[in-house]
Amino acid sequence: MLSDLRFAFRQLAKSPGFTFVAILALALGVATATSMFTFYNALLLRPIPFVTDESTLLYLRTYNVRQPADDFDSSVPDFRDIRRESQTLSGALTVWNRTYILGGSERPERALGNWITADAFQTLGVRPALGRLFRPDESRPGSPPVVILGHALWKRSYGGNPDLLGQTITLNNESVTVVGIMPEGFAFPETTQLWQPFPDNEMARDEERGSHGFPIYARMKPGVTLSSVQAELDTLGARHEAAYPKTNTGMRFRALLMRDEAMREEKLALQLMLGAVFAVLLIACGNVANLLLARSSARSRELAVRAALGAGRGRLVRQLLTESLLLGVAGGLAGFVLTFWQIDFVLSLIPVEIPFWIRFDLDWRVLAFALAATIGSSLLFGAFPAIQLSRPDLAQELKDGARGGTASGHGRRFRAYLIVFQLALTLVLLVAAGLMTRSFLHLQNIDPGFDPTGIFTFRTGIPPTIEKDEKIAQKFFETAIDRLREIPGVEDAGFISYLPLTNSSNYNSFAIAGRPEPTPGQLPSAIYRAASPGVFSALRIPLRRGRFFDERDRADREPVAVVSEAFVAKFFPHEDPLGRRLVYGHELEEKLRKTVTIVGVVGDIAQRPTAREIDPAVWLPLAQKPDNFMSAVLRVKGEPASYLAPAQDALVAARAGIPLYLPGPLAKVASDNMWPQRFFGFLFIMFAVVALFLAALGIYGVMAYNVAQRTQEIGVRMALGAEPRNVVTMIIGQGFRLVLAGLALGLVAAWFSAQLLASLLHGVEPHDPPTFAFVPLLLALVALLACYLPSRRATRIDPLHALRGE
Amino acid sequence: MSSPASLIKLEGVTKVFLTDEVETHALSGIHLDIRQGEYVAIAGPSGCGKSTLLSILGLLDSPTDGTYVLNGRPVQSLSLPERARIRNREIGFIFQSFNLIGDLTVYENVELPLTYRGMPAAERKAAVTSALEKVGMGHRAKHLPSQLSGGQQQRVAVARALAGSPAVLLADEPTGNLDSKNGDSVMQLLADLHKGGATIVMVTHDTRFARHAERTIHIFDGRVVQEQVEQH
Ligand SMILES: Nc1ncnc2c1ncn2[C@@H]1O[C@H](COP(=O)(O)OP(=O)(O)O)[C@@H](O)[C@H]1O
Ligand SMILES: [Mg+2]
Repeated sequence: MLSDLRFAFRQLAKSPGFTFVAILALALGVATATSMFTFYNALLLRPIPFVTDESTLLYLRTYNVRQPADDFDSSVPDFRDIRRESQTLSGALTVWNRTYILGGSERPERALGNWITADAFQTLGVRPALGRLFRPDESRPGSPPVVILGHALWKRSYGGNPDLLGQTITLNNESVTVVGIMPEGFAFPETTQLWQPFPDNEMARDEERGSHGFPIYARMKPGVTLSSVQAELDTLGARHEAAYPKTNTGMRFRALLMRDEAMREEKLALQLMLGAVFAVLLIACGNVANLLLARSSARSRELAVRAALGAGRGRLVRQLLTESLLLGVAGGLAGFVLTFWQIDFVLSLIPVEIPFWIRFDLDWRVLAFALAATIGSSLLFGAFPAIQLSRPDLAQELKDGARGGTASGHGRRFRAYLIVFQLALTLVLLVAAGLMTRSFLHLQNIDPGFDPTGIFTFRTGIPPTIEKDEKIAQKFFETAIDRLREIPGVEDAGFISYLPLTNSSNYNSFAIAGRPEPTPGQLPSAIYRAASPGVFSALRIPLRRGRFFDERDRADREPVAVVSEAFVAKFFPHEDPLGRRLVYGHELEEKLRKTVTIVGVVGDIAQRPTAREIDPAVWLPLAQKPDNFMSAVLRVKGEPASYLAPAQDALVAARAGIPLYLPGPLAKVASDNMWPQRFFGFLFIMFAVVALFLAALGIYGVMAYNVAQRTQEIGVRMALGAEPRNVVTMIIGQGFRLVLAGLALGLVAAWFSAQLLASLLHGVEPHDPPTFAFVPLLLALVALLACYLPSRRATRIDPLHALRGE
Repeated sequence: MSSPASLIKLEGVTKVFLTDEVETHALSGIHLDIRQGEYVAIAGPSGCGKSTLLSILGLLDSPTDGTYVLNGRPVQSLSLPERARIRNREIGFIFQSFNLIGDLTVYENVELPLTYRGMPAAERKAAVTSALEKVGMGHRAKHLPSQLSGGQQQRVAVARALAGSPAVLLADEPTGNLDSKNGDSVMQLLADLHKGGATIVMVTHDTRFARHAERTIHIFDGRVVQEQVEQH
């Protein structure tokens, strides 16, 4: 065994070129597979940390039976009823996200926190690192305010001081007692690290059954199945429908495992990618197998001698597999090093904070995968050559000189199959990468309906806990606009409730006055956004009809609205929308309704970066629709990012102690919001490039070996008068037959697998003609080049030398 | 008797191989004149330079010194593609180990040199068929070389050499890999071709075969030591 190993070392050292290429191919294959598996593991396999028994944790969604594919968060009254009435759930919790101002300085820090139902952490099974969880009475109105902090927030903003427990800190201008610190790494949900008990009086509000903004997490009772929870929720939904027809007609609840919900969108992409990565690994194995096969005839003489000397077949196979394993281990180690580098690089593509439970460090699963990939692939690529080499034709190999014709190796056909298969897989990956790239480019080139360049933006606002009076909060925005406009270089300034091209938006349903009473649950809805007049000019949104908001639209004047072109197309296709009225809160009692009159029509803008179509939108003047937090948009001269400091000063001048957060150029904010597209697109491109490189390497190896093996034949041809161009044409022609076969097979496979990508593509058909035309061309070109190099070498064969070899 | 035109003329040809700093003088000052229609044998012990001489004649190699005039044209310093073209049109090779291409049929092997000169398909077909008839292998056109005996393979190789009607056939120990019966019949084939007008230069280390030729050039240690004219 040791002698096998020693001999294997010597063999590999003897041909350093071969060894290098083989290890490189393997390293690339193993690294790509392992880093992809790391992502897969982090997102889909790794248990959610801190939470006990993830398999009984559910995420409940509300949906309308008319559009069962779209589901959304739930309402507080529905949550309350589910929690009270369910027999299958042992607990349920919900959160309400809130913006917190930490401390009382002039330029305070802002943190995202939430109200969380008081027993939530018990339901999740998370224990604090320090202090305690909430007590039930702490959610009662009038009880002293308390907070639990996340570990990182505690470290960052409070120096990690353990004496903070029991002390009070200032949150939104209120003194709050810190009762607990959660363990390091924990956040909930996603990235939030500041929790206060959900107040009972907020929980008791009854009028908000139609307002779906509350995610519900729940714990199944032991022994209960997901389907029995679902059955119970169905009954409950039907009962709510009967009891509250106005808000709950068609509304049902859906139970999902927490992990499934979190990864619903990414799951398909991840699975496809894992498939892609196995393809890359297979290609790498195919390459090495090919190289080993190519060496086989060079060594068949050696093996024939060994066999003649009495080495059994098992002995020979063992010798060869030792070599493969040695290569595999070397490739695996190199690949593992590459993996770290690859993961770092890929993570740098994620510009946003990722949820707490996604962790990319290596765990036993990744190590096991890398090990299995390494050993599995070395056995796989070692097996074919070993079997083939271990039964050389003794008589043929040992017979001296007697070659009636030039050799036609039996391994040649098998190598050809491997290459064809490899090229086909590469084409599939390239097509996927091409589609993802086209989709991404399409998103980048979507006309957003406004000009995002030269815009500086940030978010700010006064939490309701600081300023109960909406008018004062609103006054703040108006003063701020005036201060911001005074900054030299600022051409226009305004506030908007949600930035366009981000993933946040607010939809609201309405009734159109003068139209027949809509059936309950069938109210139309549209994006609902507030804006100050300056937004239209700052973003250069065009006016189509009527007027923009202006100074007339004060809080005490008639409520007005401006609608988008898409809104008109959808709801007033044949009518003049100007002067028509929309009723918000139609399902509510009279005094809670809000009626607005349409005074203008403006151009469409893209709210979501990946919108396939522009959603209809209703704009309300900021003065008439108070919001606590808004995004500023400043049209500026020069580099937008340089306006952070002056903007901060302007805010302090408007009112000290108000945080400015999420600052940046609008173009960057929008592009950061497209990170999933960029991320997945990039991964596909990375895999495709690696696969392309490996395929080129593979076809080069096969052709170079072919040329080497056919030296004598080529010599004969040259002796008979073949000119260099004849030789080049012949070699490339032969290589190209393989390429064509690979392309044909690959095109068929790509045609079918592209369909799987459909849901990830924006603005590109899965069978996008340019992709399907260009990508095979690219592969053919690269393959052609890979064939050309060996063909050049063939022309340098000296016929005399080749013939003397006889 | 008016002597036919000189086809091959070597003057002062030497060939020096340099290997591992050692100079091997494979040929030293060879003068040679071969006329159209001659059948010349080159004989001598192993390693004396016969093959080297033949490969210079066949433009597979070029002399270190001296001149080579083929068909009235100096050819010792031509470009690679030009040499390939001359090999293709003027020279027919017959090798000791046949060197048929294993993946090609008998027909395709014979056709191969003709395709390199861009001969039209119909012409090729006529030339291949006639060459195969001449060597008596017409009935084996569709076979692969591996399905033939050694003697048959060498006949195919002869057909390949003469299909393009070259100026000269060069044969390097054409019987070296054949048993005596097959060897004799290949020798007979060459003699018949010579009678039909072909110019042949054949290398052999076996003087028995040299008697087929009109003239035998004996080489020893890279020099012509004796020229002997057979009496027929
Ligand atoms: N390519 C070469 N490099 C070095 N020496 C060579 C080469 N070819 C032939 N020789 C040497 O030249 C001499 C003549 O060889 P060769 O022409 O093959 O002899 P023959 O065919 O008469 O047996 C020999 O000594 C041989 O070793
Ligand atoms: Mg010789």
